[in-house]
Amino acid sequence: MIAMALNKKSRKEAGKGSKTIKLEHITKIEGHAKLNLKVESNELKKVKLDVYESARFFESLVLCRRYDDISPLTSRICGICSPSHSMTSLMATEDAFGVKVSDQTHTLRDLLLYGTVFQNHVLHLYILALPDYLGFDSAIAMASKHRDVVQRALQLKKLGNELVTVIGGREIHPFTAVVGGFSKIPEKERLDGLLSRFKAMRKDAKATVDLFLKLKYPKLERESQAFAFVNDKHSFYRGKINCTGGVCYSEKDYENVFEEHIKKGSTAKYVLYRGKPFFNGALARLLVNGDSLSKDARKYLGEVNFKNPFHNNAAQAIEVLHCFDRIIEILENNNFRDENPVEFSPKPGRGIAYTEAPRGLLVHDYTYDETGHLMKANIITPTAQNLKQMEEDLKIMVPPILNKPEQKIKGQIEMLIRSYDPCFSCSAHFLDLKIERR
Amino acid sequence: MIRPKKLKVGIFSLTSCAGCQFEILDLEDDLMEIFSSTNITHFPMAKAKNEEGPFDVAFVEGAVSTPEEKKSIKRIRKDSKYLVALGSCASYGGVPSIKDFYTEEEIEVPVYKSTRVIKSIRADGIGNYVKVDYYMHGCPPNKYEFLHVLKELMVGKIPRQPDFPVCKECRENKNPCLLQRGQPCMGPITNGGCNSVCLNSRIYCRGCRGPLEDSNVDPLVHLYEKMGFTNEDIKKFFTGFAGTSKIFNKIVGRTCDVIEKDYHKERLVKKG
Repeated sequence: MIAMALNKKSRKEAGKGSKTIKLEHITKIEGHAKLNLKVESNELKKVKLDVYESARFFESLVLCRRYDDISPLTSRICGICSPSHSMTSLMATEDAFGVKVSDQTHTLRDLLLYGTVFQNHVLHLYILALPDYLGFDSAIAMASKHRDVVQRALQLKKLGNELVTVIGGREIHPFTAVVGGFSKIPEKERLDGLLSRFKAMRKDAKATVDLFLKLKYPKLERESQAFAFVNDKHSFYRGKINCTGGVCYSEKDYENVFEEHIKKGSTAKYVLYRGKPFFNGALARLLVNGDSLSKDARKYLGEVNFKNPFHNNAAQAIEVLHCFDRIIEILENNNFRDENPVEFSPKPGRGIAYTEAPRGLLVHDYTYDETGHLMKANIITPTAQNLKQMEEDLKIMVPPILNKPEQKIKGQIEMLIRSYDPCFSCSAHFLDLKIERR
Repeated sequence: MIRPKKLKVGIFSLTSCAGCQFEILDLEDDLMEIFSSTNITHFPMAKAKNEEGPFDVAFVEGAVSTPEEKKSIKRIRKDSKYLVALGSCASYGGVPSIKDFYTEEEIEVPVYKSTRVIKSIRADGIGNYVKVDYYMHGCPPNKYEFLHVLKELMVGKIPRQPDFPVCKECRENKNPCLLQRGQPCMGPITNGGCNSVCLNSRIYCRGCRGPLEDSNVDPLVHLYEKMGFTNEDIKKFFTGFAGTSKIFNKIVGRTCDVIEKDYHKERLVKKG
């Protein structure tokens, strides 16, 4: 719901051409944040995005806990991309203990993350974003006219959930992935069953790309830095961090590259790269690591405008198709055998791990003591990294449309923020938008 | 045929990971029917236009952890005939309530470098503030339980809580007992109804569905001690998902020395 509340003072001023507009709660995003726009004599003076999701202090909650408690707890940071959090957490623990897992474990984890990413993208694209573009209040309302589209979305989402369930045990907060491997290897029959469904539904993934490439996105262009993994199969699991300038960083260097800032009044931290905002997520991945896409997905790269943040939707759709191709490829060669997690013993030290979560780079950084209890934790989420870039984009997008009707300005601001697919419960929840005009 | 009036349903979110709401959205095959056979007028995660009460049924996910949320839950209760706590956070404070067992400094400084950035109160289940009609346990809750509760309410029945431990379903599923293998499983004292999902994949129960009402916790604590777990670790088993529940609080209170509720209250009142 966009609650537009013109306050009394601003209403008076509105008559004189200056006013305060308040957008209280941006819906269809995950969480709560507020946005303040200050407009003076029709010029945008200040943009401030504050996240006021109630803080949950995850980095403190996990302290002094045993290593096998950490991944199940950090999974609870986010209900939608929980597999990404639990996986990154496991990898950081393994990095600290020096655990080397089997190739099969790597493949299963890779598969789990492909499933998570495309399930997340489908949910965001169809349920949260698409109703804006087709002029509906929700996907349910949209179903009255576009029943086939909504059905397709639900079936795609279901397939993603089933993949995560078969490998991870359940769709939200999966648990079979543990330090050193998997507690249970998925049965071959179930994987084969999934393979035939993925093959049958590949046409729906393709229809998704066609649909989201032909949507009419608002015009906006900006220059910025993009950070994402580079690897050869566009995997979300492992890779080197690269940016658009072609500078690679090792995982251990993240603290020197990214600066974490705390804002008063905001429960989310924000992250800068050498003092400047940057973006990550699907659009950044396609820009930095586009060559690694599957053959069919790569064909669509030319149709993406990497300077327009709204095209993150198109980029996500292309990744959906890529995920299908990779999942089919892995499942066709699947010959998973029963194996137990590798044996290890906890040791003191630090471990850092990165993955590409659906919304961008996710880092977990842990320090353990000699008994395998966590002594220090640092977690940086993709939304925290995109937060400043959203502000910067608004500074460019809003001034040219200031003369448009307020409903339209607000609608477009919401669409921009939504296109980043922000997850404010990750970064800390509500979007409360206030435009102050003088 | 007389068609009953559609239930007016509100789905609300407090401090949480939003996983319980996703659990509802994960009912892909039934979602369209749920939306057409009920009147869901409040669901900000999935709808742009949301109405205020009154509601026939309100589902609330998340723990109460800010002064604003305290006000919201009281308003939701006033506006709703039937109130369902959705998931562990709404039932017992869940994972966010781990912080209740530490001091403000211990929790806030590692994340925000100071205690002055964030205004936070204890994280508690909604039952600490208002009367709750049904507790849907679990982190995440079982989506089919959501469906079941909704169906019962639609035909005017009062749903019954499952009242057996995780062990019952675990035995029915013919899983080996992980307690006998030396793992700190919490199955014997935890609310069942999850079809022992974790144990089916050989992962021990962490008690996410909270303590069974008449469960006898002490023998289990002794067993953990015998297995060689330290007091510190045992205390943490009980503060994972339902530390604030009465039954677990007894254990945590006994083994945990940092919990000093009055001290907390005093500080928070001064602060708030």
